[in-house]
Amino acid sequence: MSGRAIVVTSGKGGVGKTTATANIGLSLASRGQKVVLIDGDIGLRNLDLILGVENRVVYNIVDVVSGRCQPRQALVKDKRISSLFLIPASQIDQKEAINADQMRDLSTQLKEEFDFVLIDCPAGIEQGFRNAVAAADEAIVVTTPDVSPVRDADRVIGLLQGSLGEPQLIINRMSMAMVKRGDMLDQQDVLDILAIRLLGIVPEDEAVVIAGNKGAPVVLNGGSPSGDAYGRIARRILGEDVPIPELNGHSSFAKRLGQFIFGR
Amino acid sequence: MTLTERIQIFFGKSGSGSKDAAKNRLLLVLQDDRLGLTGEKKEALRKDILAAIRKHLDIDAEGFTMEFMSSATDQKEMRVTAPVQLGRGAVNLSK
Repeated sequence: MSGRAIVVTSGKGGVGKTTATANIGLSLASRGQKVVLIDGDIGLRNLDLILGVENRVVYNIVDVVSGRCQPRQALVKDKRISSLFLIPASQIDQKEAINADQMRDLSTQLKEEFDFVLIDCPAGIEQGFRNAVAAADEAIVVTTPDVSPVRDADRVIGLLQGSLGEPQLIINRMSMAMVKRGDMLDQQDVLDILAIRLLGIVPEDEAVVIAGNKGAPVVLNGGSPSGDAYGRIARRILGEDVPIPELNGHSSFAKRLGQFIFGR
Repeated sequence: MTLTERIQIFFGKSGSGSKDAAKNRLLLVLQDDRLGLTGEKKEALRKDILAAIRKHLDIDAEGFTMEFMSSATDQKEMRVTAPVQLGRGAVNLSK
């Protein structure tokens, strides 16, 4: 068996890469896939915290590639969904503690056993980025509809096109109210600018903050708009044809006419 | 809700519409990023073009600026505009 290795990247930090990795991983695992998440952000370990498994981390990825432990020993098993595993980052090492070849070898090894290897890429385009990309066959680029993340996403897309081909895009933290007011780039604007395939749109959602607080990602609690969005994204990754809801904020002519006449 | 606001909503606009500024600025900056067009390169290009024009036309070198514009519809297209001020000699000749 050879699974799919997908890197989740963005260029800009703080756009929701780790949250996206955790939620997509949980979502795929809850659909019967065997999934391993790799925290590629060496020195700034966070995926364990977002998943809520931080107390069960023993070994980390640097231990694995340096031969201090077997990959199996470093796998942290999720207690909620038994087919989800995490290889945590090291908190004390530098990005240079691992090279691209080691990451590629580890990923090849894991693909033998898992359906999906999801790699949470660190921000930036330096060594950590190159390592994470080396381990992957496909890429997901996460951005928010703001000027600097979109600019950085474009840079990353350019870098990926040389090695992994065309990535797919997730637009995170879309605020319907702001799109409606014309104060936020809508999905079409972002796609006009970046010109890549859209994998999904995740609405701005307070539930993500609460999920982070609890270490229980949004997909675990049904009913939140962001959790539903990640569920649809996972289904698209699995090849299902799930339409992307129009989140462009433009209201219908009839609705606008009503607002014009009745003032509300 | 004022009439103006109602009219704006009717035409699909209600906020400050700052996303247009975001989109235009991004298209411009990304065009430079993708082409590797640095400020230094732009300045070198400006000087070369100025020199080329001055070989044939008497124009004012002081105020010669070039503006690079992206096309919102076609990312393969770039527009460069450089309005030229005619030099003193040329203006005197035409009188």
